[in-house]
Amino acid sequence: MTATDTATDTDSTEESQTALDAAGRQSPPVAATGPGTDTLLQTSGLTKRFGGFTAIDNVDFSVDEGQLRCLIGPNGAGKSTLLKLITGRHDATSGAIYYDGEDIADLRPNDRVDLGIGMKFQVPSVFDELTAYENMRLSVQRTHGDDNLDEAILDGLKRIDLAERATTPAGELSHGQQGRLEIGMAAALEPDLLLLDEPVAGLSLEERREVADLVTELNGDGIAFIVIEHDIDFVAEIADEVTVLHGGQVFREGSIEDIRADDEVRRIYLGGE
Amino acid sequence: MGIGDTFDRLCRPFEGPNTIGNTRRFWIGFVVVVLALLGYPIGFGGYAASSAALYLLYAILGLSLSIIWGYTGILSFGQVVFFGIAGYSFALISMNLSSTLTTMLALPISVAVATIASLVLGYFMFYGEVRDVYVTILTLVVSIVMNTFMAQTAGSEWTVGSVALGGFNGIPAIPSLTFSVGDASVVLDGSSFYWFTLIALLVVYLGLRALVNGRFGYTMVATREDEDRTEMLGYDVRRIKLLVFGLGGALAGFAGVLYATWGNYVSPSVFGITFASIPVVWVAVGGRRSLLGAVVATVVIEWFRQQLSATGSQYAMVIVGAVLLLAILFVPEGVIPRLNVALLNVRDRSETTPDSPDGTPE
Repeated sequence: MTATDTATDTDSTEESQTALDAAGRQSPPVAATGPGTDTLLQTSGLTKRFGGFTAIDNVDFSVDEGQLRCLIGPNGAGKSTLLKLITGRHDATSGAIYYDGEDIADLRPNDRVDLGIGMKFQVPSVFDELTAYENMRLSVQRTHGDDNLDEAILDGLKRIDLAERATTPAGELSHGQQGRLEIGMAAALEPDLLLLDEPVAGLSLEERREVADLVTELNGDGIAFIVIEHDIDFVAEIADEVTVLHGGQVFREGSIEDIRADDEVRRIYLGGE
Repeated sequence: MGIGDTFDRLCRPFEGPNTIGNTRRFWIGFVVVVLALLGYPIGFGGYAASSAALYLLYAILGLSLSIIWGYTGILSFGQVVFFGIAGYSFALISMNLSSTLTTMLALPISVAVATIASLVLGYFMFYGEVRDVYVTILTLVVSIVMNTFMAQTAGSEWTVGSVALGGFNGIPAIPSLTFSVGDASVVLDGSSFYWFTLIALLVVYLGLRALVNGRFGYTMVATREDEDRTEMLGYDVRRIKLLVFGLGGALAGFAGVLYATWGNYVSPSVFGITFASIPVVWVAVGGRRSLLGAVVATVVIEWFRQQLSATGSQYAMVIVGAVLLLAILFVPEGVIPRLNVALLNVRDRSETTPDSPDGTPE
């Protein structure tokens, strides 16, 4: 595709999206993702209100292809809500979410997964009663035929060091293993963007190390990440870029060094919200 | 060894973690039981076979609930709705167009009507994001509405073609299933109806075993375990639930046609609250997550109920209720899965004992 084509595409998208869409949301005229750009995901004027409470307030937020962006901020800043808006668990009140060139704000969660957005929840949510193998199968069978299914499932388990626990019910795995299984299942869907909500909360140092390695490895394979994390050392270890959310708005964006050096960021973390 | 391997290979498509009985021993026992059931009419005569056929067709109804409730997690009281709709459809079609050909055609058409009914109800429930207990309530309400509606169709205005719906009395004199090729025709009654129903049950049971242990079966189980999580793996859970509900409707409808031709009669009581709750009892007692459990419990409970009713006892339903209560309290996973675990433990012990003569205590 040439630059001219891209420009034309963008023009036509602009025209159609200045009008109110089917859901009555007014979509701002930007479509900065997709072919010809490095931006994989871009939210635009994204807002989510629960009754009178505005959890996400007019957020413009973006992730480049292959980028690892960490999302930090005090409790109640809207981090989890933002991820839920991106995955479709919550519907946006207004604003748009462009992913790979299209507005996905009206798509159902499973359709967004099909487009390449994977998610690991805050609480490990594997299928407790199914074995690790069966859990992985549910993910792998989406991308593999029957011929090499078994092999691919075992490969998926090996990648997260759970091949020996294949026949163990997932509910009996340790907290860290469940977290890895969940990330492994999301990765087996071959996504372009993975969203992780506090992947190392409650983990031991060693388990944290394993998660960090896994995330770095997957990121090296070209998967972009949005990671919510409170543990600033973990963030420093993995992040390319950091976004600070505060009161439902983007408060700061930059490298981890800039963010660490920022007095304002320190102030909102240490109190006086 | 060659025969054993071939046998194992034949069994493999029906094996997997989502069903019990994945050993050669199970399948040998299975074949023996099937052969014994095939011989039942020869030993006990057509009348006994005809009575037993009722339990077998009920077992298909039980299986229809097992896949919906046990495997996909949707507790439905509505299986009797599709059972009854297909029974009534069969009566109306076969009696209006009474020829052997139409009797044959009436079977698939009636099953199709029941399937469409289940897909329509399912569509509004699942695509309308109705979940959990509300599905249960909704399906129960639909069966009560059907019961009330059909019971008031006694007037002469409630006639479809030449057939009166008959209100509370229902429709009598429904023709038996008749299969004809050219001039030759076979009327299914007594032993032949029993064999037809037994083979149908066998096909449905094996087909569902293959289904639940395959790709789609895993997504059914995942939907039961956690719908949101399943969605995050890219599955459209609304579609999964609708497809399973439609399949359940088709199976219940098939059982309903068999029922209408078995007694040559159908009445609004098939939609009644008593009959609506009976499949739930079968499946709960036998084991929600076991197809075999649904079949065995259906046959045993219905046989038992029939014996009590035959002796004039009014307590059949009270006892069935007590059985349900006891099962929920003491064997919540169901009788058959519990027996299976017990049998496996016995086998493991008998197999490990010779290897460890020292008798290492566990």
